[in-house]
Amino acid sequence: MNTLYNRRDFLKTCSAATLAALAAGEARLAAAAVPGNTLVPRAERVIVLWMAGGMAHTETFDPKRYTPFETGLDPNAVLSTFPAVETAVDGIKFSEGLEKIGQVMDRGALIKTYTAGDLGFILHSRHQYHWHTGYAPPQTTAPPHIGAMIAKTLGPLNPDVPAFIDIGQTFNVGEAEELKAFHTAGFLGGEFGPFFVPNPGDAKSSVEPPAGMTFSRFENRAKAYKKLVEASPVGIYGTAYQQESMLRSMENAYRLLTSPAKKAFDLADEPRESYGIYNTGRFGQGCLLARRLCEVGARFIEVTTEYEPFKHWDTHENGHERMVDLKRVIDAPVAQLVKDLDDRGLLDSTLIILATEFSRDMVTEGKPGKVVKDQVEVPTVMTETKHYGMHRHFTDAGSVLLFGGGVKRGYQYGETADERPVKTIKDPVHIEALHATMYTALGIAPDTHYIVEDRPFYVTKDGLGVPVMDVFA
Amino acid sequence: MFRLSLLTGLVFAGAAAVTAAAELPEPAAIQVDFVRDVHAILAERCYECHGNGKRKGELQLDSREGLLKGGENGPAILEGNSAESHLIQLVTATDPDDRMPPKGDPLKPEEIAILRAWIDQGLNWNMAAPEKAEYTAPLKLIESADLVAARTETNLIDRYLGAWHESRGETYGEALEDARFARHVWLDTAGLLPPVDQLQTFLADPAPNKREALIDRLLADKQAYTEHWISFWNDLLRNDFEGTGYIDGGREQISDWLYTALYENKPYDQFVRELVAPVPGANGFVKGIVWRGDNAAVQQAPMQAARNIAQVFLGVNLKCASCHDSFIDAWQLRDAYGFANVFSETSLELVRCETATGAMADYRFLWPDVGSIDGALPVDERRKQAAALVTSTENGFFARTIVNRVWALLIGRGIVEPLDSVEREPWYPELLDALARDFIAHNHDMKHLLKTIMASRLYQTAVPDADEAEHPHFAVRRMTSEEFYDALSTLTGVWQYNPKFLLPEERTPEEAARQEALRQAAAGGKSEQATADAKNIENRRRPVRAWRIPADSLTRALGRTPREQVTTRRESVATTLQALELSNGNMLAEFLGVGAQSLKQRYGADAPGLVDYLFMQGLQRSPTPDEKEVAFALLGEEAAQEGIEDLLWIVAMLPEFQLIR
Repeated sequence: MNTLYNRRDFLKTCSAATLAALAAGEARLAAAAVPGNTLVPRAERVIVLWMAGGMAHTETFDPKRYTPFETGLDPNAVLSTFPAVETAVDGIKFSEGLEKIGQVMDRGALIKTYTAGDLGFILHSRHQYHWHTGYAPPQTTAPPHIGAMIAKTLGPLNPDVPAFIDIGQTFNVGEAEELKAFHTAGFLGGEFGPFFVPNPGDAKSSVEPPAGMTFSRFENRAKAYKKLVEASPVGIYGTAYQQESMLRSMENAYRLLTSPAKKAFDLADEPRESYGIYNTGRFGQGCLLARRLCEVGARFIEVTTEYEPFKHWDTHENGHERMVDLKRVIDAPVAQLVKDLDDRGLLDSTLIILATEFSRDMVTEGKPGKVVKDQVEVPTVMTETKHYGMHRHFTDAGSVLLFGGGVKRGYQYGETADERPVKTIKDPVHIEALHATMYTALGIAPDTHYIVEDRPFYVTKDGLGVPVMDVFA
Repeated sequence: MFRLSLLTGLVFAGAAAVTAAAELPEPAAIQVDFVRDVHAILAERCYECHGNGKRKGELQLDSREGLLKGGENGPAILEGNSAESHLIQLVTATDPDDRMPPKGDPLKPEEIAILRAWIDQGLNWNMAAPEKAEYTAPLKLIESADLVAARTETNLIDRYLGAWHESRGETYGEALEDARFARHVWLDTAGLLPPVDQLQTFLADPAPNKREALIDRLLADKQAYTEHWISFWNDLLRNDFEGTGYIDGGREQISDWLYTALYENKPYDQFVRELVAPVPGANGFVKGIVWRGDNAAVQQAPMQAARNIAQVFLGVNLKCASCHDSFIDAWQLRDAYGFANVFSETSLELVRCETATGAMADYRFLWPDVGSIDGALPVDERRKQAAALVTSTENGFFARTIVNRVWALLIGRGIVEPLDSVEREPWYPELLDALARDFIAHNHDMKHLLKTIMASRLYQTAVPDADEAEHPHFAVRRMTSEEFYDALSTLTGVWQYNPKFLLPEERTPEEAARQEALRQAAAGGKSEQATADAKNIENRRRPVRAWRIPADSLTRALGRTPREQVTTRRESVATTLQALELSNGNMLAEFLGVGAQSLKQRYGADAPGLVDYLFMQGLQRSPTPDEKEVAFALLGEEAAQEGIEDLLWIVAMLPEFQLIR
């Protein structure tokens, strides 16, 4: 009972501290109700590394029995299509091809039992919406992306850097409308929405004058604008109040576009060698950009491998072969990001979350025992290598990596079965718990809420998210 | 999502610390939040007899005063002393005859712990929102003709505001001059800036009734009216060309039906009946949005229909009540389900906070006094009954809601706020209902309503220059993204291309072929020629207005709503992300580039002519000498392309350009 009281006292302090950061907003940080929370929040910023399309846990961070391909193989016999390899941590093995991340596992924690929402038939974007907002669509009130919630609650770390930066997703792909629906600040309003950098290699252009405009012309235009505003017969056209808010927003934008912080967006500025380590393609460049943005004060960054139906992690066939490349894309840059932040003394204040909307399996679709339509075709006997891989969507277990932000180093949480169905058998972690863990690392109570249409809207569903305290050091 | 905590996640100090003597759980060791922690207990366990107007034993528990005052047996609460509070004694009584609540299980120890902590901490009644209002909106429209019987003004609103001002010794503010009135009325009817020549004619017209004549003329332009107001309705009916749900047939557009309905100025009651009991082409609104997979009960399509009809047409928010009895108003779960059931093929089971109750919903309208729904009828017939009840003149909320929405758009704020809670107290209930009655008396004619407001003296008065908070009834409006884009088009003579909606007169084979070529060009440039054609100025002279173009990063930044939910008010605040999009976004830069080319063609090196034109077309006035100086400096001798682009940009960024009124 004593710890309860202590925790309460602590949380009062903690909420007050966060409230100070919010003085201008209308946030209500409710006194938290998290048993056993004596944690001193360490994280100031978050990086989500998004494995879009469904990353199979048994092929990545939770390998099971390996069965090599041979013609005539029964799919039921296959749990993993790669052998397991050692990591820097005794008792944690990864799937072959993730050795570099394995070497930094002594700086992070593995959650083996992320259990995705049971939303019926699979639509990737619907699960992604659920993961990124905590709510399954459709919704009557537009729920904010977690990045927007954090931007709203904590504000920018550096006023010259957008608080919520989304790297790597374009919106001219299949399910684009569904993707757009959760890449927003929802009811919180546009101010807290994502600053999009669809192509990290060209991030620089997002903070430069429009194409074809020199910087001097850009500055000259801004000066002329200021002069015209001053020359205009002020006062009688529009109220001062409205004018001021418009002019203030223009100034904020101008400050960002002329700030020294914008150099972080320019990957050409990175030493060649370092750039080479990261550069496995757009995702790798995104990781590098994320590191650079952390250094200048971004609050929430998401880097995605990009969701596009049947591309990237959305492996409906040839899973094994494609997995080799997918691992190559993430292994070096993710490991380097962890190392670089650690070397710069930033890892402790940065929570990195590597996650995906759900896992995959060769045989089971959805969750065990669930009837799901539109299943990926799996032959009863494998005759071609294109059959070899985790092609079905699986929601009953999944891997999440956490680094930094006060998380234990070299730790694993939860247990999954070693035989099919390879599901969670101990300590399931649902999205509410994962979000609560993230918010707790940031010092935000999981029942923090905002009022919309006279009703409270909580950062975790109904304010009931309970953090996985075991992962914290 | 609005479910208040049912305590499952709450910690309590009770179980382990129960004192044997009194068997009384210790107060919970938390800072109690009334809304989150307490209200659910009171609402679920007490209000059946002691709330919502019921007062068994003279005891009412739905207000702080009620608790302190108590009932037949004295005060229910001793503030700060839970152990001695009668309420706590009753809920912990060991004798079932004494114990409260008399029905169901006793309160759980953790619930008692919460109540104790709440009493000990001072009985905080912070609803975090307006408490249940004292005001009860009458179901029928108020008749108040006697209030203004002596007034001589011809305009209905003038009569009511005349009486209002007289009784308070107030007066109108500064009157809008002609040019600003013209700008305002053009934007509110057609969504466009007044063309310079038409503005000049209007300004020069000496006729005393020229303002009324202008309103009439603009409202008579069916196409312009439709192309402006369709965005308002697309927001309300969450209709769009693209969006979630279409991928699986879980959604339908109503764009064709809507365009025609507005073009014909369909009487509003008929308009709504055709949406509630859908005619062909109008099914999309009650159909809702369904993604692949299972929807939670609270999001099933019939519930979406009930909630959206209540919100949009009746100004009633059923979002709470579609999950549990509302904590902030009188609507209950069974009201929401009873109305949702009307739209369901199969009879619905009541589901409270995602838990099935086993009870079946009945069939009902929100106000049984207006009429009932026969559950034995097939769903089509039930919808027709619902359509009749929603639009019944016996139901004052119907006309009140739309009148208030239109008023809010034209004046800046609703007569009652928020716009979706018309049960709240209006600042002038008689005015609201007089407008509603007048609207009904004129056959639910939207254009009559618009004209009544636009012809009023209030509409033609400037909003005083001060903090918004000082003027709860009026506000300056900012251009919507569609108005902003269209204003730039009017300014430059260059419009959008690649529309997602063809006007009826455009639906010809030639146009289809042309559109297809442009579409292909826009989709990624099938050939350099096609791309060039698409961006060619001559191809962009024809007014394709912004509402026909799917949302892009600029229009979204400017507040165009993703129509995934009903939106009844655009976000109009200036944000940094929006300013960034305006400052360095390529959408706007490209648009201004083509626009500058077009102006260059027209004005050549005539910098003074160009500057005069931009001010007159953009701001409805001539530039001052100081402004001319800034403009000429930017343009240079030659009035080159870059200079024109930059001048266009700085004019378009002026608050004076983007603000209306």
